[in-house]
Amino acid sequence: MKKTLGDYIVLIISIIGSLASIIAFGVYFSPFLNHQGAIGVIFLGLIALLFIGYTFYLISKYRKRVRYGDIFEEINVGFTELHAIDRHPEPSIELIIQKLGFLCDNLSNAFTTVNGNKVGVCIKFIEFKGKRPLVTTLVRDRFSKSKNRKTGTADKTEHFIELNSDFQFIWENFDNENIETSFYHEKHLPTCKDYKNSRLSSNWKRKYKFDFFDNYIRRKDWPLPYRSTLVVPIVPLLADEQNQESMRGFLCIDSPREGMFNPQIDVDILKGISDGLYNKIDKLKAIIKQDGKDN
Amino acid sequence: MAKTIKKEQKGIIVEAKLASRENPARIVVKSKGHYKAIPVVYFTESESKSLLEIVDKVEKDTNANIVYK
Repeated sequence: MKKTLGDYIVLIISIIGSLASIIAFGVYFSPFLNHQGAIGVIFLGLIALLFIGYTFYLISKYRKRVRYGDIFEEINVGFTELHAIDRHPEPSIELIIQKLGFLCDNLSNAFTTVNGNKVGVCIKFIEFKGKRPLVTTLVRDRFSKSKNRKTGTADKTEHFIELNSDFQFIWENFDNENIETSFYHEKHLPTCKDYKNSRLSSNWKRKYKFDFFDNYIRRKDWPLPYRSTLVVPIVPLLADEQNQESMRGFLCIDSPREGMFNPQIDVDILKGISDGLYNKIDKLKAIIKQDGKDN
Repeated sequence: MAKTIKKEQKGIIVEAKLASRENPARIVVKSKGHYKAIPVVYFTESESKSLLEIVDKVEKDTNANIVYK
């Protein structure tokens, strides 16, 4: 639901009305009020301000929820990319990767519509280097790629799972039924003190520290292009089929702004897509393995 | 403590878990007596390298507006 001309007219009238009331009160009424009367008016004014603020908060909150109704088209188109792979009698690796890239574009558009700022989407798969699991980016949405977010052989960083809080949390606790591991959500990355990320260099934080301004400085110096993130594991949707061994990778969305994403809704959307991605990763693995044997 | 509403029909169990302070509301679908063992599928270093080389190729093709059919 977008802002309309009517919204702006109401806002302008409200501001003009408020200013006129304040001026009229100061010029005409306040000289005739005693001390108690002035305190009473100020008290009522503060309550009125509180209600105005709360109304704006409710409007912004529910406008965002209403916007979820606008994303089904993009989500559906994203699913057609997945289904196109399934319909193909012998999909090639190239076809699968391209379709997954298109899916990321559709998801990015959908979450951008909801959040009002560009949302990055990527699909990562799990590989092992010796006994250490690491994640590698398979595909990203186009916008992220234009913002220097690397994929393929261009990404030289090794993203070991234990060096990334999001993947580590899901991976290590996945078989523990007492912990909700179906997603990882952090909406204030710059101020999350124990957040680990293999792209974060160890010297990004300043050596000297002022406790009072710490969060401000961390936000100012934050080097990553995203400040909120939501990660779901690529696993089958049915709980009986879920365990650490059934995990194939991660579906990640992130935003350059803090305070983004609604886990109650977004996680359910992403979980459905993860279930669809699951067998695509298996398919890629099977074809790569077969190609290795043939060569 | 999350509250759970549970329904079972033909071996399929659907649990609607209400929101708690720790967890959001969610729906869990379980199948009874039809457990499916899922094989482990992780990429080896060489497989990952081959895959990423293809990712590079697809990237170039997509930028050149080549769509695989």
